Amino acid sequence: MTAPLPLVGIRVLDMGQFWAGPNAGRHWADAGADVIKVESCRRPDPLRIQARGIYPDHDPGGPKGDHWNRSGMVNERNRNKRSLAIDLTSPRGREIFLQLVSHADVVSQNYSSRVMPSLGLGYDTLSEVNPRLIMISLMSQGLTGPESDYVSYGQNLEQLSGISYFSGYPDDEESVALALPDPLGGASAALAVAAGLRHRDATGRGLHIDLSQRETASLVVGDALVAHSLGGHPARLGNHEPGANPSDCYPTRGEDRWVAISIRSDDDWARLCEAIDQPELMTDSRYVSIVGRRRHRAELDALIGRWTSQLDHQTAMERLQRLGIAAAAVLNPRELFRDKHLRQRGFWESTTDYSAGEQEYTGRPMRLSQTPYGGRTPTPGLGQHNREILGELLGMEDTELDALEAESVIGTEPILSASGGMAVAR
Amino acid sequence: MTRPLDGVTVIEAGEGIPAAYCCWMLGVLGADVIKVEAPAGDVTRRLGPFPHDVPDREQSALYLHLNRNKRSIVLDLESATGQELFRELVAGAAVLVEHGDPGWLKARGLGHESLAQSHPELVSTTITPFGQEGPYRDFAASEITLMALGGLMNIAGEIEREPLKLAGSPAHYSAGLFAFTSTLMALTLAEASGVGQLVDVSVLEGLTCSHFQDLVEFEYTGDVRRRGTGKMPIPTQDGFISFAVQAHHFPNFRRLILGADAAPDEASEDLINRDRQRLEGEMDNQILEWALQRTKYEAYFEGQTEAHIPAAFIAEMQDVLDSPQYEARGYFVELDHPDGESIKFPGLPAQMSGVEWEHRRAPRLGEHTIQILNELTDLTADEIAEVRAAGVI
Repeated sequence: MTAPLPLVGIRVLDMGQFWAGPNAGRHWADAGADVIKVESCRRPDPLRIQARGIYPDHDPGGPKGDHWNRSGMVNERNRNKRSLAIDLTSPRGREIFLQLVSHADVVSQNYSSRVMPSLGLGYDTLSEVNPRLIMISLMSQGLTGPESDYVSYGQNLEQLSGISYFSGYPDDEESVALALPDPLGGASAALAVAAGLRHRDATGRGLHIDLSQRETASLVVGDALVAHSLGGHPARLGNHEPGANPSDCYPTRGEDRWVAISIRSDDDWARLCEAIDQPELMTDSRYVSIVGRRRHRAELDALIGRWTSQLDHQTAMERLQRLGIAAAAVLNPRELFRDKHLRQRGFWESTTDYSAGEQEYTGRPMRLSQTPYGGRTPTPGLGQHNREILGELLGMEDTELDALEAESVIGTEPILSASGGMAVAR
Repeated sequence: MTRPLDGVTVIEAGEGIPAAYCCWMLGVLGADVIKVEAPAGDVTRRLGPFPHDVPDREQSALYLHLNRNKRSIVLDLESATGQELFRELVAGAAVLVEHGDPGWLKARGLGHESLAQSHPELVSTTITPFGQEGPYRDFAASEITLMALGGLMNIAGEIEREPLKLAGSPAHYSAGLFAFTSTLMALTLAEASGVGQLVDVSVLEGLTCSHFQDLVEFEYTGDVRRRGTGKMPIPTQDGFISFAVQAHHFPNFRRLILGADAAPDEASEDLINRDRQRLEGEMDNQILEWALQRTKYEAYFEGQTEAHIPAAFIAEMQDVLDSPQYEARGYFVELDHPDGESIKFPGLPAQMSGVEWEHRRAPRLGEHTIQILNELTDLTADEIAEVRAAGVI
């Protein structure tokens, strides 16, 4: 017996922009919801028109000249959605949006905290139109508090969350930031809405979810926060994993090729000695215990490095894994796309985008045994479904739609300000 | 109903972070979460960090953080009796969430197919490093090896040095988030249709979905991004700050650093876009001077409130615990520690209008064993005593 996709029948107005917002929408779209990406020609998703965007073969224009539909960053996270480009600053556009809200289950937005109220589209207004609505505000720092209207990107929030303090080489002040609050925020928003929908179905009432990306990131260092309050002093560990010694990255054959190895038990150590063909080390009193391996870390790293540097990273991984040791090649994007494991699991999903051609993107990290997930439609072009959506949901006729186009309330091309720039703070 | 998951019973099995994180959130949202621990206790009880670095299985910060809002039962799943009791627990639950090597429950006769025979609505969520199938299925894994294979290490660190693991266990935490969403969706389907299912979550795949742009960049252009693009943080009187200045922030940024009477910059956004690094580079000394006259918090505050630019500081643990923003939002919750002392824990990252969360401290090992057996099995007091004597509970 096969069940339908879990969110079939749920409609989302996804006003998300940049990364976290559209990423949340991607979860719902992948799960079968009718997700409508709402932008406007005056204010499209900034990643459509960023100064140094990612375009097929570095060519923004392409055959149709619509560079805003060729942005890799947009196409990666908006598949399975429909696109509506509507000017929410015009009275007519706002009115139409509110009519759509009455046909929606969820409104998702990650503008800065001032934007929705200033458009006259705060939660109170929306819930008056549709009391069963779930609204999620996926904010940098939440809708309340003294820092709620501060501007930030994912890397800023990573620094403010406490993650960056621990992310870096232990002997160096530089910290590494990968903007994790964005994917963490997107995934957290997805789950909050799943819970919100359940609550609504039970109570008959909608609700407003106020989510802070900074807070999603601090949870990842929750153990350090708790340890600190208990009088501990958690420190930057670099590649060292608690309970493992050694754990690090070791050089392998080739330029900038590495294998990561984590020795998590005395048994692991004994097998590593076998693997690197130095069985005499097994009984070497300096290394038999995890304490000894910690004290003699530098010598060990040299020993292991000498072995790994004779092999290529995949071979080193396979040999160590055969003995049950946690080891992994550090893959670059080329290798990752070719990796046999992800290939065999059918992880990558290929779509032929509106104007960017056929490309492969990450798939989904879960499989449901009774619910076949799979790509349905590629990322739409800006405003591609304007007429379809307004006709289908609001019963608008062609003449009315023509008039909206003529008045630029809806459209399919960005209208940029005179300076050519866009306000992209959120 | 006062919380979204009231009335849902969840069994958590296996060790480590992802299932525990997922089930903590299910618990705060109202589910009755029963954590099944082996007699030795969850591995996170041993990993720490510990207060004053003194190991104690009831004081591991990682365990206390991840296992709030749960009850703990000790069951020896190596014994046939323990396996039978586990079946009885699952029979009374809607959801099973587990993390471990693939097939570890099946090897004990407790795989989803077997459990679902008498409980077709059961949702079993299994979180494994690589998923239930594929060439790496049985590979050993840890956070650092998953980050290596998931491609994130390739872009973390300095190019002259070894690739760097990110702090903590973001791969495993992310998997917990994905597990939560898919579990809840499968549960809602099961309740509507009577069809339960197995949800297979791969930690590696979750992490691979967490790249900002390097995968798309390669697919679109063939360019391979390398590590070492990070900027050095800027020192202040008491720590480090950084700015993420984009072209449209640049005029404000310039005024912030050089003062209001600095000569106006005529550069267009276009020019700034092309030349931002040079323009910022020319100000390096003034930026440093500006920063060294301030504390990190002052620099953050002025950057944000006067110049409206994305400014941040590298928060240390005390900064996070003292954050006025977190304070205003009530992010931290104070809970009693088993020792009686009250400590701060991070709460849910989302507030829902009209819904109050309830936070409870993590359980001691096996704290609720008897209570749970009384509720969910038909064992008599004598039988429970016998099972206990046999070392199963």
